[in-house]
Amino acid sequence: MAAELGKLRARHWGVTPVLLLFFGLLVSLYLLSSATENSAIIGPYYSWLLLGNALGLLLLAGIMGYQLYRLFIEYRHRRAGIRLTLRMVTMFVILAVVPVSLVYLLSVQFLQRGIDSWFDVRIEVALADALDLSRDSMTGLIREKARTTLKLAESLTDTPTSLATLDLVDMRLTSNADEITLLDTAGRVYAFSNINPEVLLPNAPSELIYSQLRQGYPYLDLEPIENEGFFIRVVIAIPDTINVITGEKRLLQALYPVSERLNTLSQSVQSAFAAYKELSYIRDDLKYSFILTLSLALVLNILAAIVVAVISARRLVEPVRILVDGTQAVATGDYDKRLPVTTEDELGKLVRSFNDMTQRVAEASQQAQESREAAEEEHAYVQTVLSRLSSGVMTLNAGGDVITMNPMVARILLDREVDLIDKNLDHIVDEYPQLHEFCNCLNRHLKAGETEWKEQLVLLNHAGRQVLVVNGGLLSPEQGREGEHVVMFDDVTDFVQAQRNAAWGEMARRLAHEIKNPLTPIQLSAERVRHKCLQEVEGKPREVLDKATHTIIDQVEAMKDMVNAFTQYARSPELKLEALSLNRMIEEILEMYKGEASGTEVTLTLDRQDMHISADAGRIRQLLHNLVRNAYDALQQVENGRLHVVTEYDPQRSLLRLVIEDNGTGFDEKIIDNVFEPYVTTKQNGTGLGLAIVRKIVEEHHGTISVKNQPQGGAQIAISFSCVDTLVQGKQDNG
Amino acid sequence: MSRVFAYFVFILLMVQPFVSQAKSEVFAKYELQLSQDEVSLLLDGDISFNFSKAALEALSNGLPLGIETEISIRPTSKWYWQRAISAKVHKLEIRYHALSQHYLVRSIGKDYPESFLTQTSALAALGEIEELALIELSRLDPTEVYEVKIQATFDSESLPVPLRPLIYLSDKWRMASDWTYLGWPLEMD
Repeated sequence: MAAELGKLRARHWGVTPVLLLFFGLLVSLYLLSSATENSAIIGPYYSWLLLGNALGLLLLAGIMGYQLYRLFIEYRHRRAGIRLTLRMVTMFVILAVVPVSLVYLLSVQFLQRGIDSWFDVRIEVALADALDLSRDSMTGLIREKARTTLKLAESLTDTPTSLATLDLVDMRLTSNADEITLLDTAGRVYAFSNINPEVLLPNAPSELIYSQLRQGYPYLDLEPIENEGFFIRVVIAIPDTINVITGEKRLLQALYPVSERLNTLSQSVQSAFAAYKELSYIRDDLKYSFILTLSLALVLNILAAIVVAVISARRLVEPVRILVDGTQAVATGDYDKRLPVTTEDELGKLVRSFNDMTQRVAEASQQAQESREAAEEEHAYVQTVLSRLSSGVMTLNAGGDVITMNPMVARILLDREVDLIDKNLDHIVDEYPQLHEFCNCLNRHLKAGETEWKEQLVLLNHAGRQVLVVNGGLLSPEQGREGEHVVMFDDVTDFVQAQRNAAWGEMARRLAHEIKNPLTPIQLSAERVRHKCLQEVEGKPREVLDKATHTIIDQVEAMKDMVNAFTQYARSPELKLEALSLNRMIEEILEMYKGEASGTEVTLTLDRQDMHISADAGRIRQLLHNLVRNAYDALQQVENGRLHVVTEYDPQRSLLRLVIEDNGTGFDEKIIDNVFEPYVTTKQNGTGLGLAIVRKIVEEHHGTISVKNQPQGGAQIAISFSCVDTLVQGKQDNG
Repeated sequence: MSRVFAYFVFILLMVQPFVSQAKSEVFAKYELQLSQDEVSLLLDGDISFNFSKAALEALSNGLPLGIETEISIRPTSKWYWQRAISAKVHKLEIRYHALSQHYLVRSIGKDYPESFLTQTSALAALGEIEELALIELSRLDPTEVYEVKIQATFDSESLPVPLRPLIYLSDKWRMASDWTYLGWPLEMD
């Protein structure tokens, strides 16, 4: 702001040199004009004045050119206020130039007519007549003096040259001459007498006069003396006097003064005639000279008008330009812009008001900025909290469009990062059919407009059976979210499964405890009855007894196996974790089953890196037994049975994946979703605990398990374990 | 196009002094001799001036014509730009006196103007120089070689003021002779 004020002050000072130059040139032009009229005083400086004016005008033209160039540059850069400045400059220049030009044209015409009117034929004739009259008057005087001189010359006819000096003095006195000289046609002076005794040499006649006298003509004429009037010169040959020695004629020259009055009058006529003649001769030049002065004045006015117009327009527009700059700055968001107050007039008040306004806007903007930052911080905090939640949270409008969601929504529903924002529930169903049940549930509650609701859903998707607890509610209008719903849901599949496992475990433990204890006495009693009574009865009763006791013993044995299986399922032994090669363990187990089903083709595709997992060897061995047994059971009714065991390492997730595939009958679609539940089996003699134990072991090792039927037939069970390195790393991180 | 115009102006500016010089060469013809008496270095002879028609017409109409004659003496051993030991400007003037129908001539070395009946005799008298003392011999070094040069220039300041702007723009009034060397180099006896 201080810099801008400095610039403004500099611009104000910039007018002063221009005005000084203008007035200097005005004075110079006045002197130039005066020189024409009064050439005696100013005339000697005329050339310098003309040069000074030309240089001054050039300087002014340079300043004007610079100012116009600046205007042009500002126009090209579309500087604020330039159009208004140009309009004002144009207006000022027109206002200044048009009247001055009119005055100039009128002055030129007036000047030409005025100067022409000085010259009149009658005056010229009168002056010429006056000159002739003066000449005639002088001619009479000259003739009179010629007669006098002739008489004097005749009186010298018989006077020897050597004796003439005294006579010349008398002659000068009697004839009232200023000087009388005796000389010859060769220019030799014999004697002379002058009224002034200090004059040592006579006023000798010119060669032309001698020439005239040699031809026998006397010379009598009026001769001028510079600024002192005239004198009359008469030169006459003395009759009958020829120098015997030189052969030259003797001459008598007399110089007569002209009376003072006649001198004055003649001088006056001469001066007037000479001045008129001179003026008449330089008439056109005089006009040009005055027109030149007028033209210089016109150019000076135009140049000064343009320069002053540009500077004045700038000064007038400056506050407006500053205001435009200010408003543009405010428009671009710069509320700290403060404008310099250059004047105390209305524009100054406007600038002050603008400054007050921008200050208030800046304060309001600052507050808004702080509020926005606080809101953003709050939003970021909420986003962080939501992103850390294990629950899925989303908001939807009444039409079913997703407005916001946290990452867990997609992770729970689709097991990957997917952005569902701005998508409608119907479109989501089209894109992800497995979410049909979930979207239906939301649509139903949204349409019902329930203020608060809760529902448990069972979905069949990527993870198999998934149990969700979904809570929803209508956002209140006070929160500015009218018609919007917030939905929060949790994946409780593991929780439900854990509860179910716990229940099954408890049931198995009680079953084992309540059933296993009476089984042994039953078996022993049956064996005793058989031992004691079988030999005592014959015939049909013997057969019946034998069959019944045999059945009792077999069924009790079977019940024992079943109870053992339940015991095993319910048991949660402490795991002895160690780094285990899953590949080696698979090879060991399959080696044991080699001779069991010779018609089954077993193929192994094991991971070459042989990544180790952290696991209890006994439990993993049981897991593999159960799975391989299950597969062999499924392949008993199939010709060309194939069992394919695969291990593969996923370096990105650091997981070792075990896949067991067969081309058996596969799982019944009715039970496939509950195949890992206890007592779910389609086998005649199965306990329904094999796969339940498998899942239990997988969960004990924090792995995941899934099952599916293959399109070409047969089942596929996939299990994932974390590799040792990852576990070690995880422990270190947690520690 | 503008470049061609710039070249044209440049050539005009370069040639202009030579053109002016060619015209001014005939303005004055010198028939001058240097001599010396016991005291001074003397100049004798005639200068014939060749005025332009415009100048002679102005003279006939009563305008005075002035000439400035500069005579300079400098040793040849000094650099060209060093000052001359003598540089005198003599002002000559001729004017017409209508009433007496005489020409008044103020020539070099004359205290008073002389009057002449005809323009020819007046112009002839204008350039007459009789034993004009240029410099005392005592100021000259006998071992030095000197150059004496003369230049005559029409004195435009002698004309009336209204004519002067025209004079600055017109060739007709630009009358001047080149520097003319008299008896160069002048060797002292």
